[in-house]
Amino acid sequence: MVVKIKMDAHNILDFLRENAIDGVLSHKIIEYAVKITKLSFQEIERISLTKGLIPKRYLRNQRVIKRVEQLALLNSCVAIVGCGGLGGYTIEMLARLGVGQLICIDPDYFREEDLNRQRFCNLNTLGQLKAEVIKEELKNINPAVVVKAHTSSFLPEIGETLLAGAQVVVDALDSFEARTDLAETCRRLSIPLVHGAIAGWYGQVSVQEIESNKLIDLFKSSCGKRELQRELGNPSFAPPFISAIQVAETIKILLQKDNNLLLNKLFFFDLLTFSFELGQL
Amino acid sequence: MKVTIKLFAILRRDRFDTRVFQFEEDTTIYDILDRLNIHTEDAAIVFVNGKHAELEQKLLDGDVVSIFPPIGGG
Repeated sequence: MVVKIKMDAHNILDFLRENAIDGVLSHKIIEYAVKITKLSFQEIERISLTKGLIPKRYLRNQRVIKRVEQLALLNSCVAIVGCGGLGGYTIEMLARLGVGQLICIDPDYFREEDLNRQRFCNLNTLGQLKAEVIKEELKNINPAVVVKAHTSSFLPEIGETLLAGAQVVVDALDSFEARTDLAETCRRLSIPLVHGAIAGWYGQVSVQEIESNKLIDLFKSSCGKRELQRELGNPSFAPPFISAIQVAETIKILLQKDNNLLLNKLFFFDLLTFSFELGQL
Repeated sequence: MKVTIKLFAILRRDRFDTRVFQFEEDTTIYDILDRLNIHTEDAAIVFVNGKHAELEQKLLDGDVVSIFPPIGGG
């Protein structure tokens, strides 16, 4: 598409309106607007969504996520603690959904044994810090997402700083000790926590209610126990499966779709025998 | 009294998926784990009739007990 209109920040809205087709904006138009106005992708998308225009990238969200909800997601912030198997898929899905701020926390580097399942691990990223790689890769997926990459471990002493601004925290950690610290921190800061865990063919998901200690108690009682994933490993299909449920729960919290949340419930999946169980914690 | 036991994941190995047992009154979850030779360390979560229960809980006729191992990978 050839764009001939000169513009600045003042007449950006006119430009966007004139170049939208049936209220839909292509990436090229948004990119051009960014280039000329020096505003960010997120700012251009915010102006567009506020004024009734839809970036084409969100078109297929529309039946599920309305324009005002898309705007709410753009103004939302989610922290993902752990950028490995679960975290990688969760972060990608949240970015594609258009969640505007993502805080990605992981101190580790990609290793060869991560190649079997971790979304952002490939031959080019081996040896690089997971959180840094993801921050870079997301620019190619959705440049409207602002990513904060923290390459430190999640420790309760710095928890408040790491999670600052997050409306929801996603647990993508890999030990009960770290999960206990995270759940206690979220409880203290009154941030809902979406828990997910995997091992072999199995996985579980839960949402911690702000006032509840149930998940904390569960993690605490599991500390030091023989963890199944050490024995069974994690095949490629387990992380995206559990991660997809975590993302759906996260979006429901952000958009205040309170029905059917896994609040204080635990969903356990067995993909080998295709059996599952839902229980109240 | 009759109690249904449902095991999940590797707890099924060399045991069963679901089975109905006849137990005497006042049997606890801890007694059941002992009887099935399941180490308490391998039973991270126990639901009785779909609600989380402590190992000391006494069971009632008709209860359904689901037992899950600890899962912590990410």
